[in-house]
Amino acid sequence: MNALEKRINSAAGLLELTKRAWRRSTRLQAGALLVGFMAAIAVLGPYLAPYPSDGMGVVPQNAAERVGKPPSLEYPFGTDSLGRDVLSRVLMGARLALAQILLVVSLSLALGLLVGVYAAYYRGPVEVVLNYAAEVFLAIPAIVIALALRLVLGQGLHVVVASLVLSWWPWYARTSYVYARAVAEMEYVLLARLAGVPDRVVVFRHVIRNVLPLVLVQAITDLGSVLLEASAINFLGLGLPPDAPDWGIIVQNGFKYIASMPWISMFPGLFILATALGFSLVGDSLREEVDPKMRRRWKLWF
Amino acid sequence: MLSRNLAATLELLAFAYLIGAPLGSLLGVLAALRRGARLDGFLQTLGLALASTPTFWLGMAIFAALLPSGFAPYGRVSTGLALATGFQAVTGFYLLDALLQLNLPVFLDVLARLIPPALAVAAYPLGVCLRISRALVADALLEEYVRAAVAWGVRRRVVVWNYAFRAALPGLVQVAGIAFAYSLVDAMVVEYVFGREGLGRLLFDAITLSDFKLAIGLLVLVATFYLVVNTLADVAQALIDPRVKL
Repeated sequence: MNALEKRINSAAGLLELTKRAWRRSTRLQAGALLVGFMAAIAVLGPYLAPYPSDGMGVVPQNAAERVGKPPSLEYPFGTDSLGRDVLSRVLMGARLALAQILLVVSLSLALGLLVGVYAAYYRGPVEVVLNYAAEVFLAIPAIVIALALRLVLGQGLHVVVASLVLSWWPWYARTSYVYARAVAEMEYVLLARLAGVPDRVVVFRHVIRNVLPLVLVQAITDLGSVLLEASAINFLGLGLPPDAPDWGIIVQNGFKYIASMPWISMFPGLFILATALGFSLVGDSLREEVDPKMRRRWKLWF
Repeated sequence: MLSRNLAATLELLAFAYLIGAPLGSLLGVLAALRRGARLDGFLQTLGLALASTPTFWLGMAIFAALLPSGFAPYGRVSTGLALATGFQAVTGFYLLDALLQLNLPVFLDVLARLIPPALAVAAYPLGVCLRISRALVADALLEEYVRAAVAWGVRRRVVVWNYAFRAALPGLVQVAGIAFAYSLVDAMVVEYVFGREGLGRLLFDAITLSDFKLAIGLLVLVATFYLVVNTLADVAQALIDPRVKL
């Protein structure tokens, strides 16, 4: 147990940490701004979108006269090959993007945390089996799982979420296993066990509670990486159906028209980049704050 | 069929890492030397941005940017040129094949078609190596032995590279190994964008033809690739880091 863990062993500690980092780091502020912007679009998207039905993928009535318009005041991001307003589709996409990544990260965090903590708590054969399972799943990337699921289950949100959860949980299992090993050695855990508190209660009340904040910091950074993978899966047509307002799918819609209508793919790609960057900036600066080594007084010796 | 496509993907991946990993590490050292300065902040944000760029989109952007020049880097080699010069694919690594056959026109053509997709794949390792190298070198520069070396009057270049960077190297190799395995998927997607043959083409065939056997074969192949890369990274680790024994 080092200073790192002591620093944020409670929710209040995590909040305090965030406050301190906020004052210190402009990168955290920039990241929070990007994430906040995307969250605002996710909430307000349907009200901001000038053509909400276009956004949901419906081909408009007057499609013929709207096909492939370059960005203008009327259509700020242009229109796609079916005459749909790209701005509306991108705005409606924020909600779907955030829903996907929050679902994936929370599910894999819950699964990985349980596996990692139980492996560290029970040791012995349980530890070997659980860690081995994590190793196996680490070796299979989400896209390949998505391919198999797509062929069996067809298109849909469940394919994206299931494939990403299956490939992401081992990372949380690994991280929480490392932290839980240290926590499980603590005296308060030993005392609770000696006092006859049931294992389930010890794990949830003492071990998980102390491991969770540390894993959460990692999870914030991962939200961005998950978005990148989810978009790639959707871009390849493995996940959501081709009319869904997902950014990866809108990029795919413009793929064939990259020479004549580059704006279709450009804008949703920029939104993916901005969102992923936002989460990385926030997660990165929080981690810097957690790790005191990174904040040491700095002076080069030459 | 699998082996030829695997060679195509590996060629792209290896070339991308030859660009991305050294460049990223170099920029990371630069940032570490300017720790806290404006250049450091800029480089770190650049690293994050590169690692946060969707690869398929970057590939499309590069492809679109090249269109006005009249050269579309589509496919791996111009079929006409390959036929005219009697180029034969032996190993499946076209750069190597062309070099061994001393076939300069095909070599240049393959290279010109390899660089644009490789740049798209290289963005991720560049960003990752930049961040990791910055963090590790910055840490190493604070160690006592660096201070001692400076006190002894060791030249700055030697201190930075032979002391600080040498200490950061094992961690860098480890992270680059993990990133390499992860970039396989990026390479597959970029291949699809640039119409190259390779595992990405197989993935696409498996989707469009609903070929379940192909999908399973792909899954086994990719999982094997991960295991092999991880093992190689561990071996490299043992060679570089005297503290690690196999």
